[in-house]
Amino acid sequence: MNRREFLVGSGVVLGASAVRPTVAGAQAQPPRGHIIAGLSERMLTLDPANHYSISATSVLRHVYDPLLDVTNDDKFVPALAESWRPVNNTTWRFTLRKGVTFHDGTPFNADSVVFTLKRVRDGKLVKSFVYQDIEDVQKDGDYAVTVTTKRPFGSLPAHLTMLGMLPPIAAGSEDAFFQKPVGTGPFRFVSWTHGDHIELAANPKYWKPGIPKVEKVTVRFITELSTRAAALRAGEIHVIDRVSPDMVQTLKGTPGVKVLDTPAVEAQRWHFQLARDNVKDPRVRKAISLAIDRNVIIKDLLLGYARPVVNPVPPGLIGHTNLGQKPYDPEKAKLLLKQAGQTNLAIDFVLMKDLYPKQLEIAQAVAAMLGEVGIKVNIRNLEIATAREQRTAGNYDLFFSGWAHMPHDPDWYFGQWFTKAGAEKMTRFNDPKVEQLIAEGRVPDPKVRQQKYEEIERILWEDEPELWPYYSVAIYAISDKLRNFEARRDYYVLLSEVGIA
Amino acid sequence: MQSYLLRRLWQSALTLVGVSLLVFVILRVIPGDPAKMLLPEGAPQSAVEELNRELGLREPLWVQYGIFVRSVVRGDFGQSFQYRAPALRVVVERVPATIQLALTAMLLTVVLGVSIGVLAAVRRGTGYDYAGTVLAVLGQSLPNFWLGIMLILLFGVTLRWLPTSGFQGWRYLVLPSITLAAFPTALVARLTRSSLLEILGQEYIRTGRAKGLAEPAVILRHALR
Repeated sequence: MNRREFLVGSGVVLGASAVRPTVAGAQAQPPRGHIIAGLSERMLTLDPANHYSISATSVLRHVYDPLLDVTNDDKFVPALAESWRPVNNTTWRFTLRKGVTFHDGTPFNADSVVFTLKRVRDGKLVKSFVYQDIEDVQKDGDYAVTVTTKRPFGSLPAHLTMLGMLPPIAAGSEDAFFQKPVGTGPFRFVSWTHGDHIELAANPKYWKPGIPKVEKVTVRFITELSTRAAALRAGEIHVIDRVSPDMVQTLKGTPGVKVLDTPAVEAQRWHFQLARDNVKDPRVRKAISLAIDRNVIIKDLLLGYARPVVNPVPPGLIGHTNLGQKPYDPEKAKLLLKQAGQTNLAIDFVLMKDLYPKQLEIAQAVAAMLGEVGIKVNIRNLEIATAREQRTAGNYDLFFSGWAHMPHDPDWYFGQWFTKAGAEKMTRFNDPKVEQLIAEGRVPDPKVRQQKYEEIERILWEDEPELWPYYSVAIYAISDKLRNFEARRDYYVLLSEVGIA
Repeated sequence: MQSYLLRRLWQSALTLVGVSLLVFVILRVIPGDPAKMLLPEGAPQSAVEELNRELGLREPLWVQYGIFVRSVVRGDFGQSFQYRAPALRVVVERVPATIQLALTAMLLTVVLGVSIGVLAAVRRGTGYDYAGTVLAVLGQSLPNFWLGIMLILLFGVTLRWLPTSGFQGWRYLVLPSITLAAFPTALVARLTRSSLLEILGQEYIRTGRAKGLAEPAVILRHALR
């Protein structure tokens, strides 16, 4: 039994013992209590289509419902859509839930879906680029919608888990609407003090029975980890996200605080600039890969809060298959370098300052490991914007980065990094065979997708256009008063099914 | 007088234009593409271009500045790129808390700084003086980010007397204003002490004492002036 099952189980026992033997005894308890969460990233907008922030996604999930949800074990489950199916390779049909209303009482129906999808496709919004493949959105009666796409869009349901549905009344007065938005979600929006906190109150008419469990949720935005941890340890807040491995011991030692972790949907991926003479030769890249002892990074620097990589895509996602760990073999690395005629190699390793836990220490350890095989590493720890500009300009050999597969689907990652158009200003990756497979893998059929992705992964694993040093682990710390909190793989903090003692 | 006022007004207008021009140019010359920062890492180049156009960042610099000035004159300070909301609203929302924090810190600085300084000067060479000096040296030498963390750990986490962060009432002001006031308080205390000592040696103080004024009156009414 894993921790989650245990928590769910204990929740059931607690729930059962609390129910008094009355006639209405089987009924769920009314929401009770107030949860305060401390999130690492400031929410910048209440518009679900105008951001790609993980914090904002989790906050807004409480106010708006998407058509589908994704569970922590990567299953796509109904939310506002009761069911969905591909009619053909370029058509999806969604059957909608009946009897759902927005917080202002207007009914949720096909018009909301048509409005929300067309708005994100046609608007100049942060998420618009993802939905450019949508050809048309047609309603079929009040509770069914057909989406046709310009080319196969198999990952559409996955992307829709991140898009809250809006009422059509938002049209034309969006600025006013997003001052006090309404959704169909388990909580109503109450107030938002920019940069500080947002207040939510239970939606008593939520369509999912027994949800939410608490009356009030406050989400505070506390960007600095030590401050976030201090607020949790002081008992001011009940849950924090993005705990770093070296903070775990302190938090575990605090009475009333529990630390939870789970392998994230994020793979670290350090990409090569493939047009650079230094690392163009696959033998050089292989040598660099062989010279890095990934276990040292995982065990000594990340204190075990990372997992060995066996595929570019983390386990649980469509397409993942175990390709075995990359070996550590400095002798072979030296040999390969000699064969490639690169015995005096120096590479630029660019980091985006303070973005990933322990990244500088990790880069320094890698520099030492590569030094062992005769590669000089020049670490350039740059401001995020500068680092990205350097990448666009191609001024790097190796770039420290990670990829969180946010919609729990690897299509975005492949399409962005391994197609000519996507990689042009990034890694300069260009492989027509891979590009072909990515296009073929966009169809809705999961069997086809699995097979195409496995094929892509084998090519990448062999060619190593990037290094995959470890899968990240998501670490949360919570108050032991919380009931049924789930440490999510996608870094979300979701509280509608969480209770508080 | 009138011509002086006019001249100063004219000068400050020039300064404003100069500053706005400088800030405007610097913000656009330094590396960093707002659209790239707003979009996720995996956004295609076309989306970056599109958003930049939408934000008006693809116009020539002087056109952008012209648009900015024209809107400012009409009272429109433009949109915050980050918040996608009117920039003025983003700033104004933060004003009350900023003023409260600054005023509290200033009040602390004056009250504490002057009191410690006076006490140290009057009780020169005693334990009060030494304690005051130690406090002043600490206040000036502790980096305030460190002091802030230590105060949070002590009063927030361990004693749980005060909140660790956020802003919902006066209790939230205590720790930040102490942290903010530490350095200037120390400075004021030292200055008060040394100038008071100098003044206490003056003739008119001796005269005051000689004519039988009580010591507090000498210090508060004459020396501190």
